[in-house]
Amino acid sequence: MIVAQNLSKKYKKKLAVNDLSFTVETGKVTGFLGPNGAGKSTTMRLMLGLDSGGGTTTFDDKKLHDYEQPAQVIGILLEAKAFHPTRTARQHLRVLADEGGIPQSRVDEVLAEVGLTEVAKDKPGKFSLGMSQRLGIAAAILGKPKYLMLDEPANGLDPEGIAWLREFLKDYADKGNGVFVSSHLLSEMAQMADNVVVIGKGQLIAATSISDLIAKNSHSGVFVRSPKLSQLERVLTGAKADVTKFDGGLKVVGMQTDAIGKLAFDAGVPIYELAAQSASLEEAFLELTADSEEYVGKKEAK
Amino acid sequence: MIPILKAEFRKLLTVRSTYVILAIALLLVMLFAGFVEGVKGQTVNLLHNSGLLASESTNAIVFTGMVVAFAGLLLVGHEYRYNTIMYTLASSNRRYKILLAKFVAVSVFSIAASLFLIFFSPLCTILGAHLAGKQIGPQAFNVWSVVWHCILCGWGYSLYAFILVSIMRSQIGAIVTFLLIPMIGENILGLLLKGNVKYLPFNALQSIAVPTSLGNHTTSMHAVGVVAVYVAVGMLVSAVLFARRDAN
Repeated sequence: MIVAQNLSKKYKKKLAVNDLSFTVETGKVTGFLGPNGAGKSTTMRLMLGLDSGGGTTTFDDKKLHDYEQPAQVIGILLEAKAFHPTRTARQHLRVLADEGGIPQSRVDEVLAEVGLTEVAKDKPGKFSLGMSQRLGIAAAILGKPKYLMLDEPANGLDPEGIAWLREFLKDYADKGNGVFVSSHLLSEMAQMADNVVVIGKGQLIAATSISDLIAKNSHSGVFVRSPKLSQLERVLTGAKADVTKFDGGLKVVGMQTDAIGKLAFDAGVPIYELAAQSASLEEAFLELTADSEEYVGKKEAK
Repeated sequence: MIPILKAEFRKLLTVRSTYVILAIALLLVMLFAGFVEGVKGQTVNLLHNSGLLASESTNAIVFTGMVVAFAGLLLVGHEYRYNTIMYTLASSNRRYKILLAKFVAVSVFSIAASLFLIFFSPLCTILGAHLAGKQIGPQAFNVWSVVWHCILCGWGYSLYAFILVSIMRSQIGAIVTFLLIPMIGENILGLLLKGNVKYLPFNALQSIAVPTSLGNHTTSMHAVGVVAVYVAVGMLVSAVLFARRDAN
């Protein structure tokens, strides 16, 4: 398990990461979410010891620099285009293999795994963003690490590539490894991640499972429509449900469909529609980070 | 340590710039030692100067040592320019190992290149003179003396470049500074320092190979001492900064 404790980082007067603590479990994909400028990349760099700052991060109870070969503990992808443009893809990976004490035979294996065998001799300076991401993922898995830390790995991937990445990361986690991945593609994250860490303005907002995050979001509830709306509202409010008028009906939070149906039946209120509504991860994310957005565009005046 | 060393050598030898730099150094030597000195312009008296070939070796290092040094500068500069430094640092459990490996790679490369140029330059002169139908007189070529003077000079250039880029972390900034210090900075300072010009870094470095050519009238050993102090202090500052600064 990766345990990040009290991570903090200050750039001059700005606190980029503020006392951040969370865990990344093995066997699961943990999503890392936050608005632009929330401190996601800085947090990842702090965890790897690339930036100086406060707090500690342990990987199975040991700090990363206590391992002889850190590249065999955690594979990273922090920036898609981080390679020398005139060094071939294969040579780029060979350099990384040397640095990580990894056998050179792994290079061709990972190139095949990410589908870059045909361009192994090409210079990555001319690679598309998607191909660069694949090369970055190849570099991350080179040392067969127990943990993966990927910053926006889906950027630039085509739909087939995104689907491949999703399956790849889920498979990787299913083998007992831990995957920590940040992404702005919330729909993908919802399909891929088991747990999620949400930060805003450098602070922890939520660290929980995806299903829990969505369930606890206020957009989740039950929509109910009736010709006797006012009477139904009184009945539900009396049963301590949170009721708001919504789209010609009522939105009820804090009560399940079964209970609402029984209350309405007992009160003799006819029901035309009774439907459970689940919030999407996007709705949950937007609600959680509503106060943490630093860069918000102006809405067009109508 | 060995895997990191292998990686640094692989980095150096798998980029186009290393070979372009070597090609430029060879072309310059062929042009000046072979064509200008050997084929053209030499009077019979100079061709019969017994120190001609030895001076070709030292001239090659003094003028192309700086070109060779760019390979070392780019080894570090590229890491910051293309952000591969993140992966390099994350893959090692101690940052000093990486700096040490880079130091060794730059040193080995510059010494090997200097060693080659030491013999390639007089060879070009001999070939040039031969092609022009001229005869070179008997030569006094103290191999050991020429080799150690020239290697230290060539190595010094590379270490200066290495230290500059390690401290600055900017490829362009380091290149400009590396060119401006000897070409402009030390010339201006020389006007102010007069006799003490021998304590300036590049002046001292060139004095290792050519002790009296710059009017310093210093000894090679004195120049080596001055350069060693610059390199030691520079390496210490680089190491401290490399260990403590953020990886970007």
